[in-house]
Amino acid sequence: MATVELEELTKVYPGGVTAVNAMSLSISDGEFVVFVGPSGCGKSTALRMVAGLEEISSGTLRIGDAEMTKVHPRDRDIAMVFQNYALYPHLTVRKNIAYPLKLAKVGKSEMDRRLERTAEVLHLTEFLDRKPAALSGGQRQRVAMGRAIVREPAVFLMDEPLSNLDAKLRVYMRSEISRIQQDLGVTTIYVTHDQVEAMTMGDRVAVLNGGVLQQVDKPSVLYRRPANMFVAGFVGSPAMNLFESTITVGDAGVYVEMGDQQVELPLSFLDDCPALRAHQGERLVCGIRPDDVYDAALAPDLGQRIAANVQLLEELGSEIVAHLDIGVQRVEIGGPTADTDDSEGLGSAFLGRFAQQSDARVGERMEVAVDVSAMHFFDKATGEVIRS
Amino acid sequence: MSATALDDGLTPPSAAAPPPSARLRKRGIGRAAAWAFMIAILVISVFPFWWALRTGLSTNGQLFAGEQSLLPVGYTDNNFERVLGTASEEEILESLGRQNTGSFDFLQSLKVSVIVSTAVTIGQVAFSAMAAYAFARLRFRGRDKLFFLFLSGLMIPPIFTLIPNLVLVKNLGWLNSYPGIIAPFFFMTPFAVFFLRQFFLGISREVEEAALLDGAGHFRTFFGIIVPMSAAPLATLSILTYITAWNEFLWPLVVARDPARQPLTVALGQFTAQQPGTSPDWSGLMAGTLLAALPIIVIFLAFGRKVVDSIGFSGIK
Repeated sequence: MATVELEELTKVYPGGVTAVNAMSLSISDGEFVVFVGPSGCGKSTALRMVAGLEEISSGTLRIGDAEMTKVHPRDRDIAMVFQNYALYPHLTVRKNIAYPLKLAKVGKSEMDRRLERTAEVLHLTEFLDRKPAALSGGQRQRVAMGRAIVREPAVFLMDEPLSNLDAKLRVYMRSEISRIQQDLGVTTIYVTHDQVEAMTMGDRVAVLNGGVLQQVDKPSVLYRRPANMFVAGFVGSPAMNLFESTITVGDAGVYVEMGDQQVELPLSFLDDCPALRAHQGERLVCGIRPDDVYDAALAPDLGQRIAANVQLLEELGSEIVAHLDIGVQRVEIGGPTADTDDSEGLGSAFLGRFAQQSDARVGERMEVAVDVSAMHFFDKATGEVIRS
Repeated sequence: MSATALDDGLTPPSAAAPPPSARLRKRGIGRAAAWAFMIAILVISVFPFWWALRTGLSTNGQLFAGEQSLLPVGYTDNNFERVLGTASEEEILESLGRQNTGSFDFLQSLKVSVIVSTAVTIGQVAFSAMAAYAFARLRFRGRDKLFFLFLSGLMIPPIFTLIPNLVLVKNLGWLNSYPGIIAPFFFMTPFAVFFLRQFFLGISREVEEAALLDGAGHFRTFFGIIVPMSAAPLATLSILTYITAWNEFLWPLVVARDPARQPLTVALGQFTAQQPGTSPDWSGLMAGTLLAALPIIVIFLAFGRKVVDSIGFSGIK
């Protein structure tokens, strides 16, 4: 187990493309950190630089107390689980798992002890004499985990290890990996493009876009206090409602324009967000999560009321995602959003997450309640959050 | 209702498609034609072998008397015994109808063919595999240009390199020796390198990266992971190389004048040349030819499926 320090880590490919740009991150001993972002954001490249599979163009990498920037992959004391498992097809499960131990010339008794323990932890004991071709996707994934675990490395690296599994198995393996990581307490860096995976598994989540680290924090903080428009739009499903707006600071409150309507924030909002006052009268981007938009009929004492036309209702059983028209145009964050994001399709849609009891009807006009205390404001030019 | 449907331009189902019996009859004719074609190809392919066997089992003196017969004329197995060197003078006289004018040491030539083909196959597959891996995976400056240059060797007709190779082998003092016969084919051919490189490119890079992280270097990754994973194409290349080396004629003819170093292909050629033009020993020649082809026929029967599959895989049909 060890800490991992990335200092200004940069990867520039020969053609001049910068895949990772000055990424700095400090990962504590035993911590589970998830790199998440859209395709091509540099998350896998960053992981591969930590693994030593990609040369580091500039910057410093430290694992534990040692600098590893130019150290050969096999000497970094890391183990990696790959997206397509990368099992050796001609070897049995037993030999696959024991392979790194064999190369490290570990004694037979120690090898057997570790192999048995690993097989037990991963529920693989009965499959030890099978070859990978005779295993299911989930079992292969566990063998790949086993090959990493058996080495007892300082750091686990996982590159989208669940992306080849079906949805049900993915949910199961998600909890399995979390359980194993907690049991072993090994520092882990996990790469995924699936924000649900990131939010549910990581102690901290690092969001990347265009090779730049956007924000790294606990999942709840990313969700509630995004550092910029990209994180706000990327994290959460359905995505945050982002639309252009103007604010006016009055004697009684702060007025936020929402199309041809407006809502009022209490003046106390400025205590938490003092920088907002300086943006009075400017066009800025306002954000509110669909979770903070209610069917007013079911939330009589909550939030500010606005009128909305119901365009579409997605019944999910436990809740209803309502696509509403309140006269604002959505602001897109540019990069592709997560796979599970279902907010695409209706450019003008403002999303609300209603309780299943809602009587909303498509085509009708209704009143929705907006929890204004959960509003976010972003600088339109820089995309950065306007807070303090 | 049906009138309306017809008025709308719709046709009843029976008019849209032929009845099932007509379809079956059509399919039956197609099948019969396909079978007839396959049988014709089979006969064309197998007939020369049968004719060689029939001639090999015939008495040489009676061949022209029964040249219309599809069966052996004056059945005898003496020709095979003659080729193998186990026939007595009387048996030779009986089957040949005259004194034996041509002879060759079949077993010695068989030994040369086996040694040469085995050595060429081992060397060529091993070195080609290593070169192919380097071209597929190792990163070095000018790799792709070098591969292209190497591949352009495929365009050079073998006859172009015959004389330079002969001069080289002569200067090395390797005429009439195994090294001389084997050397030009021992290391690699552009085709073998190309064939294996294409396969190696298809192997997941992550497997090699996993091996790297597990602590394996290039050599261990290659021999411990890549080679076992490539057993099928390596076996195929081995078979193709063995067959090609077995059938090689021109180079051993030029480099091996000593009968003790002549493989079967050359020895059979010499055997033919020794016959008088008026009454060549067709029966002996056919018996020898069949015996020479036997190992390759056995190999092909055992691994034919693999060869056909891999030729399909490599896209060279």
